[in-house]
Amino acid sequence: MEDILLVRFIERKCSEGEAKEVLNWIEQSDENKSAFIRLQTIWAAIEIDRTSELDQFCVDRILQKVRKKRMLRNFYWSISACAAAILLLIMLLPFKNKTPIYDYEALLKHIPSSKDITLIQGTNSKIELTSESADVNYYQADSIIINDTLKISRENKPELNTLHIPYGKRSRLVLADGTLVFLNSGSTLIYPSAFGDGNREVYLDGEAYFDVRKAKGVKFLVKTAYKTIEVLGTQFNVSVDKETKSFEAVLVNGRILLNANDKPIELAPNQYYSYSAETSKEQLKRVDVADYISWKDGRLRFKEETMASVLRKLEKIYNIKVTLRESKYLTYTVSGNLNLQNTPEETLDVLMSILVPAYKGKSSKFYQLTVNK
Amino acid sequence: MDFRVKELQKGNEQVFEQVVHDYWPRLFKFALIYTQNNEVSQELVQDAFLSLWNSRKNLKDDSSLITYLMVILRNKCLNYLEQTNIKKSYIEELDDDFIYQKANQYVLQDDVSKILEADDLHNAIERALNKLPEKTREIFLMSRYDGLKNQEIADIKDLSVKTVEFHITKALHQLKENLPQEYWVWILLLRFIL
Repeated sequence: MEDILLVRFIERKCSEGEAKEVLNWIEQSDENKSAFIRLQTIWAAIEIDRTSELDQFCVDRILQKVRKKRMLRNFYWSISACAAAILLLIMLLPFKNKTPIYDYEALLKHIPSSKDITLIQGTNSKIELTSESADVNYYQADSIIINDTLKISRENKPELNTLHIPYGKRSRLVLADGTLVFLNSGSTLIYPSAFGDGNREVYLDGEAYFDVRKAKGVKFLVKTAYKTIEVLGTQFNVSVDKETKSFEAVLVNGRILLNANDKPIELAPNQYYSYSAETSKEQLKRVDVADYISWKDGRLRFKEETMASVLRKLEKIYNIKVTLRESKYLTYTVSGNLNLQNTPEETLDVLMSILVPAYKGKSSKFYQLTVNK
Repeated sequence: MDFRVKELQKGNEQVFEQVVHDYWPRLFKFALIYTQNNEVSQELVQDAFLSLWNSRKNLKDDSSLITYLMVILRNKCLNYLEQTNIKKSYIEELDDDFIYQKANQYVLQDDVSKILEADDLHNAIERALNKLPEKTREIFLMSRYDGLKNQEIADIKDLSVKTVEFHITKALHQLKENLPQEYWVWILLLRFIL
């Protein structure tokens, strides 16, 4: 066996045919196997020796687990001490300038898998709304108003609240500082019921459109699993998708700052930034913002997008699963403008007629649609 | 003796934090090389650290922390490979990943790869590197430690890519021989100490 080929195999740089050939060679004799093992081991030794890349998120998660264990141990040791610690933690959370991402992620776990819009106040009270969309308003000092009619009183001290919008539903939220947020389907926002003196901070999982109210010199931070956006007062759209491990931001007006891979970058209006947590690839381009924010007005606009990406958006909006009969269509790029007030079938038929010139609404021939439970 | 061991036995979280910080990159890289899966690697490394923490009271005074962690991680990686490979060969799914995972499984099953658990791996490599012929060593360092591509090295050194590849392969081969024989023996002894 040629050494060069063996090294290429170790570095995973050969073709599939070559790889099979090398594996056969390794399995041929103990001598071959031993030669391969020694070479691979040395190669690995050099690789692990020269690496120093640290994933802070992973490290934090490990430390978090250890701390959680300690909390649990204390719980058995003294219930009251633990309760006091938790109480202190809850009281401190909104005041701390930087809530670590894993604290937010922990709160996400408390969300019930309900088909209804869910509002969680602090740790105890949970409200489920059966309506198709919700309008939640914190702008009045001592209450939360839901759909202009339901009024619930809120605690004096600030606490973290969570609003979860399941697939197929939407919502509009006014935060305590007057900032307007449209939350798309399949999204969750964690935010304080009132803002303190320091920076304002919210945590987003999913897609939202923000119209941030300016407050003298006080920044507004949108944290996500992958990136953080920093603004003073602007309109922008943010989307995080943990399934595709992607982050997208589009600026409508003003200025926003976000932590790109090697340096902070500032977006200008009509600019689009994306980041893939899988490949670390970033992209910056000029776009028509209407394509990215039309969802908040009940429309879906898209220009030269792949069919796969449009279908994924529709699946989230309607809470459905769509399977195309011919998967080759998934890579086709389409442009159009869909009305989301229509039924899923109507919308899909419109989409298919964009895709297939002679399409006549014989839906069952082109796609299969199932409604998620 | 490592003072951190005593501190860990006492449950010093700050020392634990430092240990995680110091060793995470090495452990993660190891897991990534052998499992070839990012999420799996993160999970296994986390498990290894947590099991160090959970059994801190049972640490022997003269334990080497990195060896302790690497032994656990290596077993976890091997378990993972054996399980996925059995599953795959059962459904006869001979894809690309399977070929490499199968080869990796052979490596981890062999005691030779225990050298990767060694405490002073870095110094041993350093010594072995110094024994390489000047030109080979230079090209090897450019490739491995400076992260240059073969084409880039070829351009800088005014060589063909094939020659660069030749030097790197030669370096790996010689390193294999240079790591002293006692070292392998020591690795074998390790099994009885732990």
